[in-house]
Amino acid sequence: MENAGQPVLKVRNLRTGFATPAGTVVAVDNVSFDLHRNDVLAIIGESGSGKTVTALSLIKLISTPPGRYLGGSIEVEGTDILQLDEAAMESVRGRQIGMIFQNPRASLDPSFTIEFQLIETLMHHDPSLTRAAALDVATRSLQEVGFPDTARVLASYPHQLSGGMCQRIGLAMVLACDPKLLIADEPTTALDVGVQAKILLLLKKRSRETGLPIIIITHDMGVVRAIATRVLVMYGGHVQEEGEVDDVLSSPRHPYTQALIRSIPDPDQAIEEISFIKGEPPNLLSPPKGCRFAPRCDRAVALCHATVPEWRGIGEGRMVRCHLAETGAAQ
Amino acid sequence: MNAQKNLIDVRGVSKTFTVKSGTFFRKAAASTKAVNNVSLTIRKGEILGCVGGSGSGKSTLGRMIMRLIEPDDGAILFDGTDLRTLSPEAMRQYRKRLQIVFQDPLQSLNPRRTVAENIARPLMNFGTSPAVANRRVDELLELVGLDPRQSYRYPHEYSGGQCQRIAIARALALEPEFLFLDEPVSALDVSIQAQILNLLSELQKKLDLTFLFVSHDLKIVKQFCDRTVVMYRGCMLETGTSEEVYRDPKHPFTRDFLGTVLHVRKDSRWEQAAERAEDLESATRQSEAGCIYAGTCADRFQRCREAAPALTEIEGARHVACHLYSQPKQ
Repeated sequence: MENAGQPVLKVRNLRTGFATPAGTVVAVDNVSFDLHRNDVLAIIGESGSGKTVTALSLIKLISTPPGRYLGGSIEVEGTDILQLDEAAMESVRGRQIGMIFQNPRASLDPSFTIEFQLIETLMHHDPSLTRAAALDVATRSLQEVGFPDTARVLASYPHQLSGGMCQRIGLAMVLACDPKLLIADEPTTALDVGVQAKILLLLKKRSRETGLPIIIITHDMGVVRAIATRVLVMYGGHVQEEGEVDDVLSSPRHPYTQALIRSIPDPDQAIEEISFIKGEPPNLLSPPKGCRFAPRCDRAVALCHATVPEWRGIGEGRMVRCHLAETGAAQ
Repeated sequence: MNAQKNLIDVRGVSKTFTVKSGTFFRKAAASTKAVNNVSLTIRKGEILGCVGGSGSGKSTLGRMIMRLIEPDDGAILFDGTDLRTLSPEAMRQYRKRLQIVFQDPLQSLNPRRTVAENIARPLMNFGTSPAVANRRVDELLELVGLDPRQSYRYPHEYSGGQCQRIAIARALALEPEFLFLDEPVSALDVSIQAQILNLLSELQKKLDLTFLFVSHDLKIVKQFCDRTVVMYRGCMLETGTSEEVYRDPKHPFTRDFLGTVLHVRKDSRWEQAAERAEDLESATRQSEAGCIYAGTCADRFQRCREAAPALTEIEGARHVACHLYSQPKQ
């Protein structure tokens, strides 16, 4: 699905850091990627890998301070949003970039009905809408995300609805604003498997039908396989590997990706056979000098501990950050 | 394994939660049957898995076994003694033998106490002297693969996986025979999940423990547990060895539930399953009479709406509560 057109989103050398009493933590370090129409890009990594900070940076939701954008650029259809002020960002959020979050209930206001919140959001993003027109858009949007009985939902407060329903309302709200790009930060982590499948199917259909580019943040390889077309693997604030989903999952080139895939429980294995990655993710206050994964990597050589590998292409639209990508590392 | 005696024998327990409304004269507005007449046995040394979606009653069931929630009905036999008949003091003594590990390790540890204090707490509760308790804490930390020299630290200084190790160490402090593992790896990263499951599996063998493992992840239950029970809306729909339940699910609910599991290998079956997956939220409750799953089931027929199927043995040690397997259809 390589796209000849201009990317909708172009991220170059993005660096985001946080000031802490013990020093600055660079949570996202030199992240670069493109996102085209029809792409569903999964950003995958463990807690602390920087995947959520990347997502929040893309829509400038990092609170500053303690956060700081330390460099790079985020171009949405040619405009670098890192240069925009807060007022200009208001019109980017929602209308250009929509976002849904991990905890669906937390992204709705508990003291207002769904109807009030949907209409308020829609009218805020498009002041020319009348109340009646906004209600109409809201109703249609709710039907699109699979609510047959919209009247009941509109009259409800968030606490009267389940987590899956709240997530779908969040999705309806975002899609009603017709964004050019959707960011979903672990949208199904808090949900049941059945509800998870339903939400993912909604996203997949939307992308297929309208070409809406989606970035989905997850730590679940099953989710990646289910809906993503491309995957970006993060570890210790660095991007480690990128490529088409089929390529990366079937022949991962970075030892971290390989270890991550091996550690997924396969129901055909005995429990003792699950290999796991020994040790803990790096402390970003004092990150390893070389490759961030080197301390846990069983193939690391002296070079890996000394210098951070380049982020480089290895053909067929694949990128990797590993000194050993060409030599013995693959498999 | 069959020769082993039953450690836990749950007989017909039920629990109904009532929602009350009104400010002064609170009256019952709605009630939910969280667990409906469930019976099961757990043999000594066995790992029993319990799967189901949210609201299936799996956690409530486990908590009733621990007597953290008082059942409305039924009996809970632990090693032959009905826990429900015990006096509070007698029950307190029994608590040494049954311990629990929660889903969120950070929330289940006391943030104001050090790791050593957290683990020593149950020991102190039962009158162990501080010196002995400290020695035991070091042993326990080593048992779960943590460095005892760091035990002066606080839980927030540890990662999620390490906190879960601490929670396991605390649960093991009183040398229990039975652990109720309430989604112990759901909140953890995939790479850490495997570490914790491996640790639990080792401990189970080393200390001859019996587990009740509650999860919504069928893949993990299949791998980790000897036998599996499937729950849905408070009812037990199917039991069998984990292998059988996973390879050859009998109940239509189990099949649908399995269908929505996402796999890493290429497999687009989940999409059809998702289309069909029940809207737990919007599905209206079926009438009291019929099968609990009749509203969504693709294989339903007349009888499913009329009478609830009982859990019956179909082959070997497999039990299914479904009319498809009980009497000839129609």
